[in-house]
Amino acid sequence: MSLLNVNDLTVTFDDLTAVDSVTFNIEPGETLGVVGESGSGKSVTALSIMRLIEMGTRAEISRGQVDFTMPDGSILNLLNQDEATMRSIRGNQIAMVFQEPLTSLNPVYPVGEQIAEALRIHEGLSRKEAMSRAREMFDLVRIPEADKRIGQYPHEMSGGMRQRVMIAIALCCGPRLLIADEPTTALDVTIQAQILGLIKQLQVETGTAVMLITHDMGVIAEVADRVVVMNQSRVVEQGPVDQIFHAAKEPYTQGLLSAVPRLGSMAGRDNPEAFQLAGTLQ
Amino acid sequence: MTSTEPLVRVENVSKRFPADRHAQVHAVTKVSLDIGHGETLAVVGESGCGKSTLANLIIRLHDPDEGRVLLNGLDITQLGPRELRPHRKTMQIIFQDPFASLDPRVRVGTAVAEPLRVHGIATGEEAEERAGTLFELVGLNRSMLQNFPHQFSGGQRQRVCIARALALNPELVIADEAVSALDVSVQAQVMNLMLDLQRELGLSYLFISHDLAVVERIAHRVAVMYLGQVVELGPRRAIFENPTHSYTRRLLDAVPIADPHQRRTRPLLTDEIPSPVWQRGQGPELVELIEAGPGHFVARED
Amino acid sequence: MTDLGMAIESSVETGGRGAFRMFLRNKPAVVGSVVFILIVLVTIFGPGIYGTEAHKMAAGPFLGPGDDAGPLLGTDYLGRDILAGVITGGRTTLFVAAVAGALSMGLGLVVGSLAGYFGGWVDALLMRFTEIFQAMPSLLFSLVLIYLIGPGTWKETLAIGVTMWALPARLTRAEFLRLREMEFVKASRAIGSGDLRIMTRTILPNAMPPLLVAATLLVVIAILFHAGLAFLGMVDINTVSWGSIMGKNRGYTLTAWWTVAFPGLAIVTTGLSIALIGDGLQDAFNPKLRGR
Repeated sequence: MSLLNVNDLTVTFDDLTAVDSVTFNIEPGETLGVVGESGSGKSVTALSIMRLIEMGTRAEISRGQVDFTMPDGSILNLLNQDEATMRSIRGNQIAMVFQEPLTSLNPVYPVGEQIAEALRIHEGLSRKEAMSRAREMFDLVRIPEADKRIGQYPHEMSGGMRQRVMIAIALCCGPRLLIADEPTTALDVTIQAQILGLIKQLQVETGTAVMLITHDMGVIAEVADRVVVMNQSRVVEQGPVDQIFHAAKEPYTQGLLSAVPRLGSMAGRDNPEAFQLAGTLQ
Repeated sequence: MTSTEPLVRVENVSKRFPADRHAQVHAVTKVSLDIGHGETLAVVGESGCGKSTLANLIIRLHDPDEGRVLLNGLDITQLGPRELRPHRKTMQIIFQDPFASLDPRVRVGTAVAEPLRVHGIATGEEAEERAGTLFELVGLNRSMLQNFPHQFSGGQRQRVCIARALALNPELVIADEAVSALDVSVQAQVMNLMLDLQRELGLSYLFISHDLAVVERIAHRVAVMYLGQVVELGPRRAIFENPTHSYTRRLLDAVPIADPHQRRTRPLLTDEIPSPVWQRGQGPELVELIEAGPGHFVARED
Repeated sequence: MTDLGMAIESSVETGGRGAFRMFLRNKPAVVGSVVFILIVLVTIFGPGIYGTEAHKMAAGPFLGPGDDAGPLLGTDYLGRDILAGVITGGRTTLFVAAVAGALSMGLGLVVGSLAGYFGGWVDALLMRFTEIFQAMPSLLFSLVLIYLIGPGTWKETLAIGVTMWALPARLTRAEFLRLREMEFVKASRAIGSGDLRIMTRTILPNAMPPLLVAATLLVVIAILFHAGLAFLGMVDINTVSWGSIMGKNRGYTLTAWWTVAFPGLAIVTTGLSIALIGDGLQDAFNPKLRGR
């Protein structure tokens, strides 16, 4: 039984279709990579699953189902749930990590309190209990000098540490699905490598399924089990990561892959060479 | 080192900025490098390594605290604004954000022809005609000259910026993260355009980037910067196939390769990039470059 | 430049103590606080210590300050002690200002945060309502209100508070509009926070610095407002306030300047000290300035 089944999901902004008949599923414990360029609808898809898209915008989820399997085996179509049920699912069953770790953290609270906040919402812990759990989360996401850093404000931390805090907030209630929307895009390359390594490791330790949204084919190749390729609001192609990278069927995917600079691909060549663009980019 | 004069020679250039009353950012420290005619020198490094400051020093948007920059053998660091002006034409810069680089209320044709007017090279119809030729050169349609920036996609806008940079027939184009903000398919097309232009016009590029996979595609030579200093400098193949400095290796190891067959296991590290801020009177330890191969220089490590 | 910041802020303090220390670094704010505390202490304990009652005849009329026959700051046309008036009148003035300021701030916060957070028709409705209040000349509005409900310290406070809330409402709305689009609000919703929690715990603390300054500004405005009403004689004649002293003596401004100057000086000093405190609070509640 899939953990999440997205079926025919369609989201519109006024006349514009931002997500068009998107269908995919996520199995428990797997990493699904969702890759696409700007405007492909990948982030809107993620926000729609969380039902975070409608608030304050003219966006409307006009069609489809998002079936989520609860721990007791029951299946909820998230699109039909009331706001109170959604609140109990957000952060608790499905958690999210965003691209900008600076702006995703509240600047006026110390980071430890922000982890504790999620615990107090879902598990009704006292402030003291929540803070001690927050301290444990710091160890889980490998933040050194935890006792000192737990009282720091977001602006006192580096981008990599902030993203670790975001991951700690996301994982503190033991969600079964983690949606990570471009979690490493804003980070330097060596820090990105550390965060990717951390996400992979935590997935092994906690068994959380991950939906990783990115524009970076390198990141996808490194962490995804299966891949959904999106373009212009639609799913173009999906399949196991090997198949997508080595036997892509769709011209769009072929084009995208031909445009990706692949480290090591220039070995043995003395002069710069143009990309041999394929598929739809020809 | 070639026997002919390089286009640009950077000699022991340093730049510090005040951080507060007691501390300074050592953005660039004693950097020396050359850019040859018709070659692409890529400068790679992470945030705070000084690569953008270096670009600004070369184009004289900043004045160096010490050292000098030679353009075709002429020291331009000592020139006043008026004397510098004819040399400005030789060097042009394109930035990361093509959205911010164009005035939304100015037709792109006017924007592209503007450098011609400013330098008194062409006016009126002649400038318009030249803008049209530039548009075709960068793969845009002449009829788009009348459009406003918002009518272009990100990739097209970066082409407009390139056209504007080429208006004065520069010898050097500095690309400061110029393809970083673009979608990967657009990025590849803009890079292909840059390679075509280099072949046709004999341009030199100073290609500033954090993305090593992109750099590997486009560079002839590569300088790796770390905390304001060059720690490794050499031909592209030497840097990518025989990386010698530990930081270069760390950078290369960190790049995710777009091929699931080449997955890497990542050790669980929690490094942070050290700060280039020092108390006044203090500063980073100077690295000493030693030759590791032909044209391949590496900072000595203990 | 974040890494730069980190290096400089290696010994940053966190929490309330950090805010307090930041406040202490703003020297004008410290001076303002000291002056304001002194003024408050004088209005609380001053009348008991000084003894002379403000509304009773203490000496001959129109005695100038320093006149041996009269009290220190002179007397007015009925021989009432100006110093006693300044000491006693502060109580009413400060009470009215504080409560009217709090009232308008509270109203403004509720209206502005609802409008800014929910947007759409809630915003449209509340903002039209706000504009009605804003469009009315406030002093005139207060006058009409007092005419309708009658004088008395509480009623005057209400009449002032009700006319001032449009300013904090608009400011709060602007802050909420800006902040609700921030990533951390989305992130807060993503961990399961409800609307009330997001408004009060996530957004409001971030909106505090400008609102605190606005609050101090409102208190200053209320002081001036009450003085204006008193000057026009539209307040309870049996209650002494800085404004009412000036109002009663307004015919003698040129002949007996001290009757108006000293209560006026009290108003200006108090207003200035509060404004300085507001400036200090803005710095103190900005975590990014701490540790610099």
